[in-house]
Amino acid sequence: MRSISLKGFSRLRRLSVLLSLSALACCAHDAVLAFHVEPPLLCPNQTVAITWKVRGRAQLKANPTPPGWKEDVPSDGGLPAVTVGQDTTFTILAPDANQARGSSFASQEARVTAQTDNRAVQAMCDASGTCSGTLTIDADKSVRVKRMANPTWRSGFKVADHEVCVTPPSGSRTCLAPNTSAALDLPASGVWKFDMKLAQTELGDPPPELRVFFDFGCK
Amino acid sequence: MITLQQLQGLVDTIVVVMMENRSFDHMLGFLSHEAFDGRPDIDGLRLPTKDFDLSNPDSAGRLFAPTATPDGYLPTDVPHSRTEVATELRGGAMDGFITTYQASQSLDKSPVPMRFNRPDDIPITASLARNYTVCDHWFASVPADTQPNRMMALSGETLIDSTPGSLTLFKAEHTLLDWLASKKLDFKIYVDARSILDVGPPSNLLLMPSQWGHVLAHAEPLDGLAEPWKSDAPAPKFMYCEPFYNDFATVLGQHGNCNHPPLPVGYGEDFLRRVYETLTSNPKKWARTVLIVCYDEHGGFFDHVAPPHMTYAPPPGNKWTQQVPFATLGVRIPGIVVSSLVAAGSSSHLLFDHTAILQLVVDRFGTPADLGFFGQALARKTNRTNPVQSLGSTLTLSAPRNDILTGLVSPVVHTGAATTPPISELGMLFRQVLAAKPAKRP
Repeated sequence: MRSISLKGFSRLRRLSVLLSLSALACCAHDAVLAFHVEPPLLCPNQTVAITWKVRGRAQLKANPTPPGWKEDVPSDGGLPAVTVGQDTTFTILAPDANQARGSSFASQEARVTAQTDNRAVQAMCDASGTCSGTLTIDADKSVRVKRMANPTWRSGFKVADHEVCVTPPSGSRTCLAPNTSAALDLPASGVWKFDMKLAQTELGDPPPELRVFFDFGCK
Repeated sequence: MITLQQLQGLVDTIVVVMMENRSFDHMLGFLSHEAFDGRPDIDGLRLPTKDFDLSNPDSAGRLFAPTATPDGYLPTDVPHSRTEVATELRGGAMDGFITTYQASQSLDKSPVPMRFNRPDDIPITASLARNYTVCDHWFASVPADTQPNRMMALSGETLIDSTPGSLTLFKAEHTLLDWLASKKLDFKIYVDARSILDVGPPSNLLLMPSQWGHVLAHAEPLDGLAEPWKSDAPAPKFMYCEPFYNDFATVLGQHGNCNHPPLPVGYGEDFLRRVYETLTSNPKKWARTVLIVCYDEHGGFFDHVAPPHMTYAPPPGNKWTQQVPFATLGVRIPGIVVSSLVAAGSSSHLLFDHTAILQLVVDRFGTPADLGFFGQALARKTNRTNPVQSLGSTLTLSAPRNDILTGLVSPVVHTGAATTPPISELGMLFRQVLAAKPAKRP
């Protein structure tokens, strides 16, 4: 049976020095340092701007891959106008990095607006039974919310119909009854506020989510 | 459930494997999921319906459901500090995992915390879960990160409430190793490396000077277990089997197998296979062994069960960063009791936290009064609202099963485009220093 060397253990002081050195040396390892895909929500065939900074060699992947796409890219670079026809995930890689250290790759998605999305707000409820919260949509200015529909609330992972009121970034508060919809045609980008009033039999603990379906469209 | 007397007569050895940073739903949620095992007895993941949905939103309100995802390296660590766990739990709503992840870094916006593992990617864990007892209400001891939870597992209390960002030595009193030593009970710490210095701080023991004596006297390489275990020599009463911790492995330019993100879990699966196969290599000893496979905390991964309320105030002499009691247990972790004394494919819904390990060891090798040696262990056992049970309560067979899993195959880890390079220059330097003769002192 082997045993642990006492001689090795007596070197703990040098070990701690090495650990300190390793902390300093961390910054010399290949890694993704910065990555941005803007805007994350846009209309079909608009363009996104992609910027990145990688320590070491860099690759930029796209899924689905546009025609003529070149994965090998400079370590510090950008593509100012990549046309996106469908939802596309961009991934920046530091291919020579030790993946076990982390920051060897990162992914961001550009979504186009050809879909209806169920959008949820993490709400908090006050003593009066009013529950409210916000979400922030980062989108190209041409992206619009054309319609809102079918409000629900979720408490403890149970989803139920409920009236929810919505205040758009630029517009007035609109209350949606269960299983109803409202036409809007307002810019999507900005902070949206959802609120609802708890019925006497409803509990605000755990804090609920308020949900409304958004139909996105383009100007 | 067998009686205390039966436990003491049937079990010779307790083995603990505590892996790193995965939630119950992330590792074992597949057991109840309709697309996989669909077991009704497990409180795990389910497909959404019109009136039931486990999705978490991002800050733009987009919803992401728990998604079975092939194993692989992750982009980065997943947040799980005390402050971040609080935003993940969001007062018990359990819907802040994505927003917390995306707020913790600006590089990656994929829904990493909502990933869960397919059984084919975790064949060893899945086999153990399907053939032994799954604990689906085992929570981390505190809603915080590694070191506070490992301290609770070791001593039933924690003098820190978050893992320090730099190498820091901890004070530890009344640990399980102290108790075992005081009772003159044989124990071992098997580390998955050539030497204790290759594996880094195992179970944080190297960070606690009061435990260094135990480490020196009782730590051995894991591959040194096979020979004595196969022999007729008496087995140790208690064993830790320690993986290769990734934070230390990367200093050497390697990868660990502790399952801490950004690691894939495939390496950890191989570690679990080797531990299981070693312990079952002697059927006579295995029949009298209880192997506990668990995780220190959830590591920032989604879990759908809100932790129960259980107050834990800063203990005397603490170095907590926030002098505020923890109000709940931590997030659920995967826990499997692997033993000939449990029924195949069974589950336990009893409340456990890491102090349940201390209870089991005391149940087997001590007396009820011994539980008072360990910080909060006794208080948690006698909690009037949520009493934490002993893991001994999972043992149900009064005669050991004689079946052993064979033919286990570790998964192949797919590294994708990037690769793990061979040992780095720093790693080489490290090894050279370790190999050098100690400097003579005047």
